[in-house]
Amino acid sequence: MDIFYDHIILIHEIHSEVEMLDVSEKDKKEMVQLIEETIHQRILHIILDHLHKDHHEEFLTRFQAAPQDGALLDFLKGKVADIEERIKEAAEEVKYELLKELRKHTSK
Amino acid sequence: MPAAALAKIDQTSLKLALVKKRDEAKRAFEAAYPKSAEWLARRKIDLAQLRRPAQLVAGMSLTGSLLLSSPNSVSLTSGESKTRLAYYGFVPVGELFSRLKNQLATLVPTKPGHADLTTEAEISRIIEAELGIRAVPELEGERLNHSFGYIGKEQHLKRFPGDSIYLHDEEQSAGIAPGLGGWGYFVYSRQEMTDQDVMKEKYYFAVQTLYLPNWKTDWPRLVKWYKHRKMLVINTETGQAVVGVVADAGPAEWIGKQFGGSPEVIRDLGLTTTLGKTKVLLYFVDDPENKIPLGPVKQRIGLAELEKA
Repeated sequence: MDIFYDHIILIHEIHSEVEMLDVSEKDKKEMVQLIEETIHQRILHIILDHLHKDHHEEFLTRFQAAPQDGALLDFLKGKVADIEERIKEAAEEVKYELLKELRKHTSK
Repeated sequence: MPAAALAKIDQTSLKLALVKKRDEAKRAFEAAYPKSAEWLARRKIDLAQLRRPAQLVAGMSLTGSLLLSSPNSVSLTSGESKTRLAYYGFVPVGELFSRLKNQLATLVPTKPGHADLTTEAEISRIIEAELGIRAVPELEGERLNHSFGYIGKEQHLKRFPGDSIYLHDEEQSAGIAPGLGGWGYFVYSRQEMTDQDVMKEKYYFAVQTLYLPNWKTDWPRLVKWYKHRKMLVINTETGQAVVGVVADAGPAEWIGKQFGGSPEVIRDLGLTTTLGKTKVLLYFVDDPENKIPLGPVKQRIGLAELEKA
């Protein structure tokens, strides 16, 4: 399912890396799921880092109700001008860590 | 894709590493935003589940984040789900409480006090294996007069000058103590109160430091050592467990209880009556990096045991 920040974080390169692994489709799905959950939690963390605490509950309530809603990004941009950049940076960092983890356990 | 192009992997260790990364992210979130984490927990929402639309999450219980987060999960009772839960070391919360209760049943003392040293070590081993928390009756040479006894319900504590019961967002019916907690205010003004301070008052213990044999001679050091010291309480009759901090002194010996718990601690231990008391273990949490979050323990923290396996 799409999340409102999917177009910012672009995790297809990790999907491709998992696709190259010599494991069953079921295991690939499981790994992708773990990776997406990790990225997702880190993105939420960085959003709350930059969003004033008075708005945390409103954000979580709206996100829980409709994670795909593009208006969420507008809501965040209204509170934190450079939130897209912050999300992108956080995504790059966690993607790097996860790719490193994948490659550490992989041998051609 | 040609087979030659596929990368060989150490599948089990990779999965463990990914689970660890996911759990680290979750713990970091909970440590940084305990109030938001609690908001989610109260609504039985797993952090990772927020990426799903609400209607898909409704009705699920927080039994294991891996299971819940899997798009392939069908139900908690399916054989595949149970296998996967077991593989990752997660168990349904009811089973976790039950396992803890059953294992501790023959080890806890019959009356308030301490178990013998061998039994204490075994209790600590079980707690670490089941909850992922290193908990001990004696830490850095300090030991309370009891590590097993009765706990009763305390009132809320004033967190800052001017605090009132109406500013506490849970368990208001418990009221607020007229005096200060044994360690005074948590902060000096409402403005400087952090989420962590809020959690400390929500999950606090009263312990009988005043009856320690060295209290009168060594109190300046002991006051510092015990202030907001992290502890784990386990209801030995149900297996329910809560992590909190020491923030009050008491109760008086004549009351017949050895420990006190905040309204939230008592609620999360499953004790609902105001005048009631229940048998508990109260151990120090050995957590030098302050990674164990305050609040009820509903699944094993960390994967240390799994990695050793």
